[in-house]
Amino acid sequence: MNTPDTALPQSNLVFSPVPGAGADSSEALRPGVPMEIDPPHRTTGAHWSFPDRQRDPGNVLKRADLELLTPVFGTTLPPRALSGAIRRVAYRIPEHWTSHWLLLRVADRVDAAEDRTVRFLPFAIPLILGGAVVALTRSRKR
Amino acid sequence: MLAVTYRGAGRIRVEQRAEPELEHPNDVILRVSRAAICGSDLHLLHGFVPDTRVGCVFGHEFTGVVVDKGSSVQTLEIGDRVVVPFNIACGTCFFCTRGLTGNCENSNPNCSIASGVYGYSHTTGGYDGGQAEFVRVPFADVGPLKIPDDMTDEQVLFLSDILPTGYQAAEMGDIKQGETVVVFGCGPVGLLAQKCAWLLGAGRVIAVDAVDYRLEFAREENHAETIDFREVKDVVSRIKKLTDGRGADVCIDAVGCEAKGSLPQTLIGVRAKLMAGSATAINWCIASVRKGGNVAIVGVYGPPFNAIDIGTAMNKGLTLRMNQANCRRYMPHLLEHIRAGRLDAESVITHRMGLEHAADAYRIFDEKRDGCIKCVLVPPLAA
Repeated sequence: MNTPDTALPQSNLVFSPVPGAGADSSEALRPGVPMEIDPPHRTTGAHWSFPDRQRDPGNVLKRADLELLTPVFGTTLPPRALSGAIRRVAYRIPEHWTSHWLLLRVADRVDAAEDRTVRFLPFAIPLILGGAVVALTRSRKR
Repeated sequence: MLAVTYRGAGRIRVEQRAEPELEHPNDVILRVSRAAICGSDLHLLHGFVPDTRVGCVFGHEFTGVVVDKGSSVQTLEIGDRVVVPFNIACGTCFFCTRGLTGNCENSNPNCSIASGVYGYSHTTGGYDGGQAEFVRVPFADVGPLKIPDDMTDEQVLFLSDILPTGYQAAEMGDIKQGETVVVFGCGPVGLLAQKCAWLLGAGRVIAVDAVDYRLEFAREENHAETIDFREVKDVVSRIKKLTDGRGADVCIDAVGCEAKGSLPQTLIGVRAKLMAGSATAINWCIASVRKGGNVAIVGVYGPPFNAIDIGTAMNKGLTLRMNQANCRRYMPHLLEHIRAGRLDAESVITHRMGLEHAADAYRIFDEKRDGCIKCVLVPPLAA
């Protein structure tokens, strides 16, 4: 793959051991210059003025300043349990407030703790019950 | 289907998940053929991005084959091979029409600072990612680029993120012919930014990192001068010494929020997480660039805030430019560079592993073991 392109205009090339060095030295060849396209136009492939809206499943959180959900969004992992309750509070706070982000970070930690608890519950419950039975038996023997 | 899921800070698991479904008329479903692990996935894994929910499927760099499509999809057919930009863009909003597809306002209901991104928390819209056997791709007529028949998936895989990101970094640096460019970070994005800096006419490229084999790659493959910041007393002074005492014309931050090199930043931002990570790389850029120079930031930083030396930037009259890459705008241009042999993004791939071994792949990449620069995951159906 690393073969220099001899088809490049010589004026664009600088002396360098790197293939293609200087190929985009002219600003006119850089796709992102200027950064904002003027006049604005649709991105290739878009065939709508405003996109169709994805169905609202009713459990997707949105930021405080948004009236409707955006036309598309992710639907997996709706908020759940205590972490979900914290997330709901966080999304009522505008995102330019630090408390919005701090609450989401707290919710992330709670979410992970909930996941671990649920995962270990099948092992923990028999252990707790077994321990209780042993303790009860010993206390009766005394 | 098999998918890489988040289980809390520092923990991921490969597990069975329900296959995605069409949820919008312009959706397609892809059978993933290649998915890469990005350095920014590590920020997610380490808990630096708020609202990363347990069960989130990671992965925003992938190629795949269309296996199902919505009723309004016009440009793709079942069986097409595509590479997908990491940002989800509608193509018609205020920002998309100005070329800023990385800032689309119609794909993320959770947060206005970012567009929708695959597999990158609910802060970027809550979409599942491509480190799975199948993935849902919204706005399929806008984002995905068909892979030419004469090119392999791996040749074009990095058009999804790290190559446009590296190119945009160099472009935002407004590099003039013969200028000196310093790239902080020799991860995949940094290494590609170095290649792109040459492409844009740099006269000298200096790479800064602290990982031997990555510096060697920068030296051998990218013909960059290198500085190991562990081995110099002061990296900024070293750069100034190399540039007539003035500093570089352009500095690029390709590190992001887990940058090493400053104990206070590491303790407060990375360990205690009292800020959104460490801003060491940005501050080194600001200090190392000459007065009136340009700083381009493509390293990932999350909300809410960082400790940045803005006073120095102001007094030196710097231009700071930054953004998520507007990938779609660069993909056709960079595809031609790849085809012509001017760019070889594939060269950063050091590891190919089965999707089922993703946890090991993350460990190797995270701990920088075994000479790892870039890991590509291969789903069982594509092996």
